[in-house]
Amino acid sequence: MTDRQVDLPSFDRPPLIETALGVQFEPLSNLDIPRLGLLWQRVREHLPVIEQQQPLDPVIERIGVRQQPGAVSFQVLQQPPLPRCWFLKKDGGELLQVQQDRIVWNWRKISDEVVYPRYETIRPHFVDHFDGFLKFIEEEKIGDFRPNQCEVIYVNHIHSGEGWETHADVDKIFLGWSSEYKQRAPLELETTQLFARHIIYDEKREFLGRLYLSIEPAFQKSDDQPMFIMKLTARGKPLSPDREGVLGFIDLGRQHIVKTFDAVTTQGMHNIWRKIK
Amino acid sequence: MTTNAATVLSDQDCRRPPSVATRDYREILSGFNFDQTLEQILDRLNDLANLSANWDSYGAKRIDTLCIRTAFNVLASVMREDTPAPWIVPTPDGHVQFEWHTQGIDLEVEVSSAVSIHVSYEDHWLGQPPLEVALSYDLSDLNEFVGELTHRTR
Repeated sequence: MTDRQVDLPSFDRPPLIETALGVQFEPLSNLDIPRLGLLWQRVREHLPVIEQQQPLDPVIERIGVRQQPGAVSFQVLQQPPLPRCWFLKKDGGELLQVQQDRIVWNWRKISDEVVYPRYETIRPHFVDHFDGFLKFIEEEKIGDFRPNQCEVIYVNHIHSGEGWETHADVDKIFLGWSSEYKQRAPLELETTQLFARHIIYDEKREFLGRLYLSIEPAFQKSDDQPMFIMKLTARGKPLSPDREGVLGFIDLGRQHIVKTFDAVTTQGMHNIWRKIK
Repeated sequence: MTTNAATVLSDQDCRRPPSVATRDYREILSGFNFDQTLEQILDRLNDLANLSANWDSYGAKRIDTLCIRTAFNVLASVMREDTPAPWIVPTPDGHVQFEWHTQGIDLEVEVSSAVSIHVSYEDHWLGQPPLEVALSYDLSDLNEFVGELTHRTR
């Protein structure tokens, strides 16, 4: 996929601050610390900074169950956990995260001057790293790649002073919250936190995964001004259990995120973000 | 929602007001009156995790940690508050099997990976032939079987 879908909404000034594209797979027990070092050798020219983090918990979107697992986090430790390695660009604007069962590529807006390069530009970066990883595990005989989940995350920081002022103004941003609430509630509204979960089906109406939407109040560290964090996450199974299936879900997940973001935010905010189409 | 906030970095750029969203797992479990059964399950899974290779003296593999984790997540998803605790056994291939044999129902579930869950279900009261189902992302069938089993034990 190289060209933007003609029917996808687009904004000239989206509030997007970070995107993450990732795939989870059956753990590769041979992807140990020395081999993670070998992998870094292949990317360090572009991503020279390395950090270690706690590994992310595995997660599978399932259907047909009464409650979502994850309410209780459960770890089995037969040996110390291997870290999640971060390979970063010097300015921190790009990040490749690798652990035994996951690879994730992040783009970040590191300053106000940075313009979102668009999915059509960042996707090839993910594909390059993804293909590089697949080639690495094949050449180093680390194991078979068996993907079981894909994930697309879009994080938006919506700052006050443009279209809204306080955390009680969520109705000016989000169509899912009625302005009537503020008018009818007997007490002054201070803040609102919202969460929605949607199901993603394929063309045959078979379960693929979920799209999560959250809107949380927060404050900017720089000046303590109110802001909202609007996070959209599409997570689900690859369209097929291979490279193409992974990329297929990631493209699909991103489409659903963009359409949902456009559909649930107000015309007023669309004007501020300069909706193009 | 299980998205790990640490997948993205931009959370570092802001501060959030105090939240009451975080809950200790005991509070979550006790809210379902589920805690004792799940603790039994956790203890048993912990036993499996501690098995060494060759635990059966016939060359059995160590139990795969992802299978243990998946088994727990699946059980937590399909068990009701009053579902009896299953038998949980290791398999020589390093997988986890949990099973119920009660009220005319034989239900056996083998977890061999995060998305490979084999279910065998037989209802002797209804005299139906045994069902073998391979599940991955959709656990509806297993949920239904556990629901029926739970209903009969009430």
